[in-house]
Amino acid sequence: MTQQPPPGATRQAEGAELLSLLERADRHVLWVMKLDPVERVDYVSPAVERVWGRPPEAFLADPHLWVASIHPDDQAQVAAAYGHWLEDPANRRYDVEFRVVRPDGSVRWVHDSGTAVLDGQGRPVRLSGIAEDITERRLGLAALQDESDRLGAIVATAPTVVHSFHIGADGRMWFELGAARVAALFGVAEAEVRRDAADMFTRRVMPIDHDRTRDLAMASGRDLTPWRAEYRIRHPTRGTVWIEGHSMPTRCPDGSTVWYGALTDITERKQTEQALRDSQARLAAVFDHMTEGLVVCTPDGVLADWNPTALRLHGFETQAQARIHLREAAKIFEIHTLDGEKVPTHGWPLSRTLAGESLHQHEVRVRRIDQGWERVFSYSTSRIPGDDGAARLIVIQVSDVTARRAAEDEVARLNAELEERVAERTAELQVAVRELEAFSYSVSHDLRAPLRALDGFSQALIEDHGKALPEDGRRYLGIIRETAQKMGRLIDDLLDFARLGRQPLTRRPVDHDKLVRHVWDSLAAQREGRAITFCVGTLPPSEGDPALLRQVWINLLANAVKYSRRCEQAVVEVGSVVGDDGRIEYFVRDNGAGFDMRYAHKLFGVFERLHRAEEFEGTGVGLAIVQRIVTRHGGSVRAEGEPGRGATFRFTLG
Amino acid sequence: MSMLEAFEILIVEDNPLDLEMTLRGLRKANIANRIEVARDGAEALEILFCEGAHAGRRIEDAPRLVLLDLKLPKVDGLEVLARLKADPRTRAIPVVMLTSSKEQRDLVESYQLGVNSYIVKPVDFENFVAAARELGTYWLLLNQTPGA
Repeated sequence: MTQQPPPGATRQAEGAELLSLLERADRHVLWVMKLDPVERVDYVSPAVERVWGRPPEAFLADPHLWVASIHPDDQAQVAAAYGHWLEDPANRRYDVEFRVVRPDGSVRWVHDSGTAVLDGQGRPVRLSGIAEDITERRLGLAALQDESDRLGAIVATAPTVVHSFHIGADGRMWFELGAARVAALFGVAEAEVRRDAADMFTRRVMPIDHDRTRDLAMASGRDLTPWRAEYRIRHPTRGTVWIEGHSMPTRCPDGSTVWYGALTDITERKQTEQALRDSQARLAAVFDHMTEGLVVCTPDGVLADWNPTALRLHGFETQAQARIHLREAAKIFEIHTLDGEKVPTHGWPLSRTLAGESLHQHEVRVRRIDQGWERVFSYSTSRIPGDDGAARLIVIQVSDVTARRAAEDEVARLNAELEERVAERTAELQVAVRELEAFSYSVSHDLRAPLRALDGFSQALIEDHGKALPEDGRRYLGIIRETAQKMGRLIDDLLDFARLGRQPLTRRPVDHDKLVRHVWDSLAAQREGRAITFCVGTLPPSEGDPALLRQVWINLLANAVKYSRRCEQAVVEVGSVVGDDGRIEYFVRDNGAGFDMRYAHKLFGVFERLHRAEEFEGTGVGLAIVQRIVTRHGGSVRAEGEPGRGATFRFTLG
Repeated sequence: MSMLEAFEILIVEDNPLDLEMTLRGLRKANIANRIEVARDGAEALEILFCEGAHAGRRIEDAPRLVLLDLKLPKVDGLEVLARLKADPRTRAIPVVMLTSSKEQRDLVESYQLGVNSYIVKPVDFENFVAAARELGTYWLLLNQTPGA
């Protein structure tokens, strides 16, 4: 190994010392290469064995080993740097980092730099340099880079915005780390976040939260205590956004303060919390203001929560008074059934519900012993199961039904009384009806017997002694007979009329057309010797009692025949019209004597007559019977007429 | 056959005026059959069943017609009718109810008890006589009872 002669003794001594240092160095490898006549390694310091894993002699022996031990991926780069340097060694430096592969396969990083010794023509004669093992440093940097990359990934993707926030010594505020995401969170440009965050805060943070949040940050920066705040911003597109911030400040040597921390968008959480609070507020309002009492009990029998109504109903002033165990309640309350039977504690609504029942409007008498009142309460209970199926809560609804119960009792009492009175009145009526029947019966038998005798013996007198009587005498006897017979008819009609009221009504289809024609035929005797024009229009069938309706037609048609007696050209017309309400109205019209409408109200009264007996005979019961039958069918009858121009009788049947 | 035993028509009537008129009517209708009169229901039953004052009569000598008033003292007409129709010995005797009643229930009950005919005494005496005559003729002359 040859050495360049040093310029002086001192320099030589220094060089020797330096060389000795390099000889002992373990990470720095000194190397010298000769270029003339061929390029070869001239010297390499012992440290090469530590770095390359090969003794210095190996390099001296094999001129290619130097290049061959460079990691294949780095050979091109090293060759390029080397070539570039040698093109202009006076002005260029050789400085490169590459990996070497040791014989055992392990890899070391090397920083290699060199200088060239030039001849008089400026051509390089010798090269020398130092290769430093920088593996540890490179690995450290790589680890740091990895960590930085990972942090970057976290900053970019974490649900919270990881950031650094800075306040300079001059008071300027800005974000660095996570600036892009901070900008997105606030809805501003990233540049603004990096340049002047104070303006962004002013514009975005809601006035209601701005000063408080800022003051907290200032205090945190002053005292270097953690900053935590929740505040609202007005985002340009999302509207109100809730942000929660956490960060830790540190002071920098330049007097600025930096907070590392996280900002989280908690809008959704806040909305959920708000919805929950609203819901709770609504439920609380319902609980507090409902007119029904509500008591929530624990499964071990504590009457835990009472709404105001429940408190008032049970005579408590505060929740605290009422929050008692069932055992305590049993000391101040007594419960009786509506019938007055005492209910033991295990039969109370709560006890039964704890035992697994659910009660629905269970009414009991509740007595507060210490306050001396008794009311009737209606309890409904339900068990609210927990996840394990066992009752988690018991909810008891209670309402005061004292007044309703009293009213119901009163109604029941009145009903009973009413039924009793109805029974009494029915009995009285039954007696009256029986008396009336006995009266009718007696009238029909006993009143007629004397009339028969009057008539009969007058007749006998005429027959046996008629010849002995003067003309007047015979006429008087005739009057007696007529009068007796008339009274007989009156009695018969009256009895018929009375009978109508009690006779049960049967309902069957009635063919009025057929009925009217039969009735007309049956009136042949009354029509004898007269030519009456009889017109029958449409007569739809209806429901009714055929025998009674026959009587209606008889009476109306007989009247029509009778009262048209004096007409030269008598016309009797029968028909029907359908009214606005769809009801059929039957009518009988004649062109006979008619009547004065002023007396129309008297037409249907019993024994009411609008004509003198010598004009038209009759008892005055016929139309009363018509009205009674029609009324019993649920219908009505009316008449219209004009003296000398006929009458029309109209009736409906329910 | 004594007069007591031999009669053809029994009239049961409490009203003397009605009785007189009925008799007159029958007479005028030339119904000259022997007529016995009972003035109440109890007497009618004694006559028909040969009891009491009429114990000497033979039940086989039944009348050919009974004109029976409905309303009678002691035992009323419906009961007399019921007894008559319930006994096989008297069941065949034709009975005509002769009454002033037009009551439906009387009529229904009479027919249920087996009355042969029923007429309402009209106030008009001529009609009554005509009815009595027709009835008398029918039951006495035309309608032959099994025992006659």
